[in-house]
Amino acid sequence: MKLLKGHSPLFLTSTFIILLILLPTFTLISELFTPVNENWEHIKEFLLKDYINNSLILVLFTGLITGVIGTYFSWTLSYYDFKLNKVLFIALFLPLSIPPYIAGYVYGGIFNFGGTLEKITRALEVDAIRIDMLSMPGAIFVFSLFLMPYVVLVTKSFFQKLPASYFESSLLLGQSHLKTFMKVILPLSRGAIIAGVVLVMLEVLNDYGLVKYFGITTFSTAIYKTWFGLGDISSAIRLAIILMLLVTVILTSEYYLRGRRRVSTSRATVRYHQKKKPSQKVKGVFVSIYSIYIILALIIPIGQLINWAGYGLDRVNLEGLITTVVDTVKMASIVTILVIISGLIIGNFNRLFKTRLSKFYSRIVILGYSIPASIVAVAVMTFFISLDQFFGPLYMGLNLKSNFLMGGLVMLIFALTLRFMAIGFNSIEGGFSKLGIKYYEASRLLGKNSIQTFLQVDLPLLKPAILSACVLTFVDVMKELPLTLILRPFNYDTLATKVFVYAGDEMIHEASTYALIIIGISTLALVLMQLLIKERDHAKS
Amino acid sequence: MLSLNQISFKYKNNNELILDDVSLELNEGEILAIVGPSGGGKSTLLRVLSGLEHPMKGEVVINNKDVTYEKPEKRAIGMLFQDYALFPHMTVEKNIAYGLKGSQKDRVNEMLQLVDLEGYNKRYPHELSGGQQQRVALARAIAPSPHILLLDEPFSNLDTELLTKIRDELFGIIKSMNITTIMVTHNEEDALHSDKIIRIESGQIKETKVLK
Repeated sequence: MKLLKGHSPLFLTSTFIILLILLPTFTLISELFTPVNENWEHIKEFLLKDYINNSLILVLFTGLITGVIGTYFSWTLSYYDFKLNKVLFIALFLPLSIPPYIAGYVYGGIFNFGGTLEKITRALEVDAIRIDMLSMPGAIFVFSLFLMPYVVLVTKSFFQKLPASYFESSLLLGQSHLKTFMKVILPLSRGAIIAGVVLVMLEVLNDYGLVKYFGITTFSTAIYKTWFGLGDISSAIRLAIILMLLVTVILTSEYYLRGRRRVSTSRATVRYHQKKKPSQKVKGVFVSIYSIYIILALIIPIGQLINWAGYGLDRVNLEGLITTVVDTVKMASIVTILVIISGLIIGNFNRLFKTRLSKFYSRIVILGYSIPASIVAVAVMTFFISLDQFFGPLYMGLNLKSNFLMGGLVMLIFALTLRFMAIGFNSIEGGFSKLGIKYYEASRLLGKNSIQTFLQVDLPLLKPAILSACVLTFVDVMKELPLTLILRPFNYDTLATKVFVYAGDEMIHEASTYALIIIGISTLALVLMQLLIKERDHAKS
Repeated sequence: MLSLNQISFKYKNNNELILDDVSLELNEGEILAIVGPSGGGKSTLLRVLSGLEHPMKGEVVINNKDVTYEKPEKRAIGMLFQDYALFPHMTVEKNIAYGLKGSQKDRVNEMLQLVDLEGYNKRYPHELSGGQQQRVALARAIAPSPHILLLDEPFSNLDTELLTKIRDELFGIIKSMNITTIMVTHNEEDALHSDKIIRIESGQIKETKVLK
């Protein structure tokens, strides 16, 4: 029997949070039992196949390309000793600060009729190069460029922690470097690579802005169109459920594809691989590919945005811009605080109880991130419609509007907290598991109750994990588009929705200033994160 | 002073009894050593006694008061953990003062003098040697004047060369303060410093030996 009983405040608050996470999904499922209408018959017969095909093509090709390129970058930088290895790694993560929808507008604008490329060819008096960027291959190209860092992020730490003995024994058994990589390293790292690729795939399914701009009908655009274009909630819910099934297939495949291979060590101390000097050939190939990547994923988009912003600077409404920045920062801060508080409660519950129920709670929180924004939007909206109906008589008595909850910011804050809880929770749970229970128990035995222990011992020790969680959540909320777009109240804008609206109205110059602010804040946060991690590693050593 | 009456304990999701009808008595100032094989229930007994786990049956009585379901912070029990569990974000003096109420400085200095670590107030745990860390952990555990002191494998992290010296010092301090102490150990030689030894196997007391 544990020190903490099942009815402790920690258990009750954790259960309350988990119920809030699950309730919208239950509402969604219950709506599935309403009778189908004509729209759904039409969608099923003529459109559904396209939605599935387009979504699958995008997901599979982007996954494949990012998997190959990401693994190449990650392995090469982990195995070889280049000058400025750390800087090269950090630069590789920076494209993550450019959301794919912004990158889509940039590349769309460059290759459009009368776009930047045509202007350059005209100035150079050479034949115009025509590439139809607003197409499926164009979307795969943009997604791959800007989501690839996820694969590097996941595989990097795996490669760096591979014991040196794996390479050495393979080389001593007569295998070449290439064969060692193919026969030993690649099969061992399959799990990490697949985990990175799955992250990319979920991001592709989550996207709304890019596919909408490129005119590709996927589940995200279909759900949005069915709900707001046709006003058909029931069909939108059915589409959301099918998308949910697709996500389940991806997550289940990940589990089976990872297999049973694991890195196991029989000794407590492991000698890690010492980086080798690359040969001229390896160096030449790497520098070429790396440079092309950085030019395409960093220099061109940022250069183009700065150029456009310069054209649109005189038309920027400074007051409106400041209001939008303040609103975005406020929203991101509120959601970040809620995510951190929820993460601390559930993470602490899981650490102290360690029961099947507490593990299930953690799993629920983590799974939240794999649910695309369009599903979260539909589920939350359906849930809030029911809430508003339920509280209808109360609203009348208090003289409030009949859509009191739906019409305000509460619904958006709730949905964003739900969507990004996993991001904050992952960091915090990692912090708790490193901390363990020994300091907690020592503090209790020294006469402090659980709240004093949390404030005086746990919280200061969790500071690095909480900071990482804050940075990651804040950046993701700030960049978020589909949920904000669907659930925002009338006349409420964030930087992301402004970019979307301006770009949709062919006002790309105006959109660029807002896009650059998003990228600027995200970049600062990402660099801060890297420095935090570095400082933590330094402190450990 | 302390009595455990017919204590039984098992972990959730596990039907095996870790402690099976364990009873023992201890007088004020006595030192009890608990020996026995790994997994026999020695450390669990300490956890039940300290209130970190609650027994499924039986009672824990300290100074004639039933504390079986009392929270750990209310029991006035000090514990020296196997890995010391010194708070890494606090200095030596803050670690020692952690369990104290009201004016602390004199008591902290008294404890530092007792464990021969004067001048180390401002150091952080990672700036101390293993032996010094153990002495800080001991000072922290006894600073609030607990009724009972629990030692969980206190010498397992020390080098053989240091062990004899530190063990003598530790028992010297405990005896000088007349604290009722229970020590879990693998080492028979450690156990010889106690007044009484019990051997626990498969959750039951198999043997009791009175030394002094």
